[in-house]
Amino acid sequence: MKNVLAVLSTGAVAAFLLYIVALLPSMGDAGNPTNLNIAPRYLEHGEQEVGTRNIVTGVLLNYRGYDTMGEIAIICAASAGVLAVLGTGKRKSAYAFMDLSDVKLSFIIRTAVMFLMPLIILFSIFTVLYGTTLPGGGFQGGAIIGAGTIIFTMVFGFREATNRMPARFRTLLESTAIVVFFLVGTAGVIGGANFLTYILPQLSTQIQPAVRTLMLLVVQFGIGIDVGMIFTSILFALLREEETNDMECAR
Amino acid sequence: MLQTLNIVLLVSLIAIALAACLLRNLLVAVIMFSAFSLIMGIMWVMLRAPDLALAEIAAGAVVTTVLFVITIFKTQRREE
Repeated sequence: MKNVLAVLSTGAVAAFLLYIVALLPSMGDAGNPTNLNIAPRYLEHGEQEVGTRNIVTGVLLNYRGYDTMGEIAIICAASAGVLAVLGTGKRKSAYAFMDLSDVKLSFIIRTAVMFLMPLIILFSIFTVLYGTTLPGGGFQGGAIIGAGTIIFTMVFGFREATNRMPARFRTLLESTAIVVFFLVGTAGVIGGANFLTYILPQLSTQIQPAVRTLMLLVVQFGIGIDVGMIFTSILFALLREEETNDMECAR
Repeated sequence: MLQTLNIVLLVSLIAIALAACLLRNLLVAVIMFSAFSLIMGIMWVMLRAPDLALAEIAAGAVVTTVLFVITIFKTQRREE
């Protein structure tokens, strides 16, 4: 009886939602309200006003810079919460399950990963650097670095990976994005322009675009390093185990 | 041609999402979730949103999947 009621109510809500979806304007139609006012402005004046060929990055970092800054703050706060729950002890004896395994991964996998790691790092730097002209940007580059760390840790083990990326580095770099974002945004305010417009009115019009691109690049790099370090830290915190815990379990 | 590919991808997206919800084996469900992200990434490319596709594949299909697998590995299974 309860099940029938649940199915009926879910079906009713689903039918209602599908009816609403059918009433929405069709996707990609030029006459849609969202395509009439603000999108043409972005597409026609975006490159000139923001200075990025990839208009998505321009909208993210300039037109909607406040929103992106808030999102980055949310990511930092969420990672702080996750790391507070999981704990990031500084004990040297920490290990993970792959360190205990007798089976070593094959020579082929080790060689392939050793060959691939520099390419992955290079690709992530490329994604961040060319985020203003090609698809990509800080978050994507950071996520690629995070994926690279996962591959490295799975193949070479937790101890090797934490030796390469010590905790004191990571805790220092985990909040770069929000700091860099705020500093670059405030630089414009000191110059007399608005917050997060990446404009210093004192400079001549010839250097202005170059300075703006440089500021965008700094912010992108800040976001990339931040996201990569957050993914790495959460991975390590999930993997780590300490000998004391096992002793308590054994008792 | 593109229309057919679109329909195939959408149908498999729905099927994979249902499988990820309904399967009892958590590991298989996580792999299904990863496949969902992969197909969603292809859909983003087809919708001309390559920025989102990059983020979806790197964060959704790789990082979250590994974090879920580690969590399953470290927790115990209990049948009711």
